[in-house]
Amino acid sequence: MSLPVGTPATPAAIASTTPPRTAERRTGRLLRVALPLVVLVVLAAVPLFVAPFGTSTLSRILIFALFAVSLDLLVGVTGLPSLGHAAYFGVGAYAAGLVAIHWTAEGVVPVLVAAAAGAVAAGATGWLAVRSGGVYFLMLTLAIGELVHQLAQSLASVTGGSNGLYGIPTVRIGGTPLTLPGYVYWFVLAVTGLGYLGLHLVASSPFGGVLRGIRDNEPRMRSLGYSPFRYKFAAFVIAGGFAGLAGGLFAAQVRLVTPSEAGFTTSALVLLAVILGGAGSLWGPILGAAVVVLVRDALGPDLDGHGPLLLGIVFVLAVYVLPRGFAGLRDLLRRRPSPGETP
Amino acid sequence: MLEVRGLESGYKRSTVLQGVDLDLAAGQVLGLLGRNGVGKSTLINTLMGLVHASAGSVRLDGVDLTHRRPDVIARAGVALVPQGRRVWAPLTVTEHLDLAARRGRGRGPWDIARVLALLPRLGERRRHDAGQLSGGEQQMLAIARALLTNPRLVLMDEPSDGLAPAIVDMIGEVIGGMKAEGVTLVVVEQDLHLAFAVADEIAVMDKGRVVHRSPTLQFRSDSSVARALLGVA
Repeated sequence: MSLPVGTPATPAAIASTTPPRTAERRTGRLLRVALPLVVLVVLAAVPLFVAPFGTSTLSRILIFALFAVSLDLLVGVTGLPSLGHAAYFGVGAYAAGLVAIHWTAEGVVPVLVAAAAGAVAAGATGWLAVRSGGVYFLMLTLAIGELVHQLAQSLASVTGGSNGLYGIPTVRIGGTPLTLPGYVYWFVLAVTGLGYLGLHLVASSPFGGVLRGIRDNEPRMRSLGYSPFRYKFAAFVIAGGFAGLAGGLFAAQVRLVTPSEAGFTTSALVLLAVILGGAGSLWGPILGAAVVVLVRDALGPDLDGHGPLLLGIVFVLAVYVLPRGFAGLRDLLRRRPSPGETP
Repeated sequence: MLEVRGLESGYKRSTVLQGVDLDLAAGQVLGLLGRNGVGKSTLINTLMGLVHASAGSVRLDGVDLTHRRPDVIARAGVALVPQGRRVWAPLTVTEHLDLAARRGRGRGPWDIARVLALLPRLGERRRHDAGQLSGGEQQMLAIARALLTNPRLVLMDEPSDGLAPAIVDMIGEVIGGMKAEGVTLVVVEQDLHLAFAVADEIAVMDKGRVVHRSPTLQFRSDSSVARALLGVA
């Protein structure tokens, strides 16, 4: 009565599969530590060789990348595709701008306040949003994003309305203002590096394992005794906090915050960066963010404002050529069995 | 230990369970048989809270679990080994074990070392993604995941499904090992050979009800019941 239905599961077949080779694993571990360090060193050297415009474009890329990675924690790791993540970026940007204008522009104070503001805003809205799923989650987050966008427009006495919040002072370290784009860039690089490390630790912790379990099979996690709501809510708040941190850096770097930072276009662009880069990998969205910012800011002006059109084309191509984003490229290379690898 | 009374449930407009009554003593292994579509899996999933019960009651050691969420039922001590294994393909064996162990730690005798002693194959495959495992290994992983929550009652839905006969025998040995450790089990099976090998008692379902129950030895010796209810000799 029991039939072998397509499973190659004789005991001999099981026994013959080899575990990943240790040498390969050691190289992998070395790469995981060495590669980010090399990238960090190269990035840190950029202001020494590149013109200020290039440096500030790279600052924007780093900020947008941190923002995209924070969204990846929701989209890729937890399986919650949000269309309103810019709300928390915007809240963070306004919070940092206001702190810098009215209190202090000293170092990390505004960006930490921004992270806290992003987390609080995500906590206030997320308890409702994460109770839903699928299309409803998309619609709720879209609505939250639009709400924050509208608030930014209408609370003109606080936010500056549609003129934006301007006059944000330069970041200071130990009382000295960072006037050169290169110094601001180093500040941005340090904070985004730490932010990325934080998100990476969250995703690779046991907590991150629960999130991935929920993403892949929520009923199964319930059957193990996990209450998905708490974990999804926590992920939402953490993602909101890191989006707020990115927003704070944005305020420090651009020194002008407008309602569009919290708007749908920003939410859509950051989601585009995550999908282009490959959701769930955390590092892919960094590349996705680079493409989005480069096309929008660096190529866009030369294209008579047709940057979004080019982005659309890039996106359509990516969906067909790289269905799992840039991160999928690595898997393609790794999964291809090399000769002699077969057991 | 488990008391099910008049349980009814189903999907949308079709009622599948039409009043199930079932009792189970601690440490007992019940083989649940029946033709396709008589409600075996629906019963298992209703006990786990994955399918909503429309009437009747489920009690575990006197605690009412009838309309509870699956996570509450799991914390009350029920574990499910689902049909088709349903492991998380991208997670490694170790990650699976950790996820389950974090929920069950300190609540009973099962920890990762003890589960791996019962299922040594998993220990050899700890670093592999669950998606790379064979069907039999995935089944063992699903069993390990259930045991690590330190359940009082384990529900197994067709553990032999899609597995080669040699692997089914191994699964049978694992279930025997669980039984020896005193785990209470409900095993839904199409494979009579496996059900007879592991179960103390056999219950047969038909048209959404439990229509027959007898000790395994008696059931095996009386082929008329099997013929009438299961369509086999």
